[in-house]
Amino acid sequence: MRRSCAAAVLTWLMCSACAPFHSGAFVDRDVNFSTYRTYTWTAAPPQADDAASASGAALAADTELRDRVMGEVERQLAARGLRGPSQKRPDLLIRYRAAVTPRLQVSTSGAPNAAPYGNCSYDCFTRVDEYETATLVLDVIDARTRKLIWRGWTRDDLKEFADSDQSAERLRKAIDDMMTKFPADERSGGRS
Amino acid sequence: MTRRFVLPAGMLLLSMSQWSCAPVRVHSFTEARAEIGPAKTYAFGPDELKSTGDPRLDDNRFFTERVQQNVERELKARGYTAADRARADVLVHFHASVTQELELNDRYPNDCMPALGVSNATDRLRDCRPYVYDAGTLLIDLVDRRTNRLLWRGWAEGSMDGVLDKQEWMEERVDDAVTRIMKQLPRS
Repeated sequence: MRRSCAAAVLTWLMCSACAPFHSGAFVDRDVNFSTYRTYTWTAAPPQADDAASASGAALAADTELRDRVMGEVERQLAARGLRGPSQKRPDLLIRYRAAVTPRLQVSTSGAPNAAPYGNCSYDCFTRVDEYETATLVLDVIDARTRKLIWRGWTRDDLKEFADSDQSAERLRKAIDDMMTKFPADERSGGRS
Repeated sequence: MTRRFVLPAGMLLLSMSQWSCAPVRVHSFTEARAEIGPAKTYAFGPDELKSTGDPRLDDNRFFTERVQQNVERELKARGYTAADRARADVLVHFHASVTQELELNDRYPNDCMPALGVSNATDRLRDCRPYVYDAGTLLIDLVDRRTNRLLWRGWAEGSMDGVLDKQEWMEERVDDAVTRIMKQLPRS
């Protein structure tokens, strides 16, 4: 049991490393999203964790990242028939948070001729490395009820959120992937 | 088409197998001098904006409401009735946290299996490599509103690997954890 569990966990970690990024969403299933027309941005409440690390504070203060995120989200919302940012009684409030989380990664290395996946029996060593992930959380709030009706998130290795052109493209793809989880809007041809 | 189906299905099975690796452990604690007594009225305490350790879970209405729904169902099944927060006998507080845990192995290397995922005929061989996983804790407190004294605390601990990746998986885990925690609450 223990062996199969460890194998499953390690396999999952390896599969995660293959994945370009990771995204998902939470949704209020009772809400009819087609009734919303307009939106505007609102500030996310400050979280103590965001300023706890230097990289977290830097990410939170990264205006270039903010512009990229907001630009891509606005493009995606427009493709779904939502107009904005509109200050005149918007239907939706949008906010985002970029947070840094320290993570651990265990890797095992064997002899040079070892089989794939770091298999080894005796001449192997295990190391634990710390790295940081960046999580982008996008909240969509009903402006009238002030209830969170959708939360999308995407997660990636922090270094992938750096400001190179390649990373900009990666960020765009990550946001696009996250926004595919936004409920379909019949007005824009049922794109979901 | 087949590959498109097989890969997600495989990932789902892998994820589910991880959940079973670290079973949910449930504990409770009853204040020695506290009187849980006959069924009372309850209300939820004010929201506490504590960090959970996972940004996806922070200030997450879908999580908090699911916990509340389950707690309410269990309390009502025990004869408790909902009341205004200013008048309730008992205030319910809950908090979730997620931390990454490193699982070490203390076996002698000769007992370790040589290759990942390769079953060995010798049962004593094991994969001894350490691994990391997201450990989650959900803690539920019942507090006497008048004295502000903790009456009862129940909590569940277990692996959260992959649980927050899908809303349905998070909901299933919350349903299971809260039900099991609340079973520990003494019957009035």
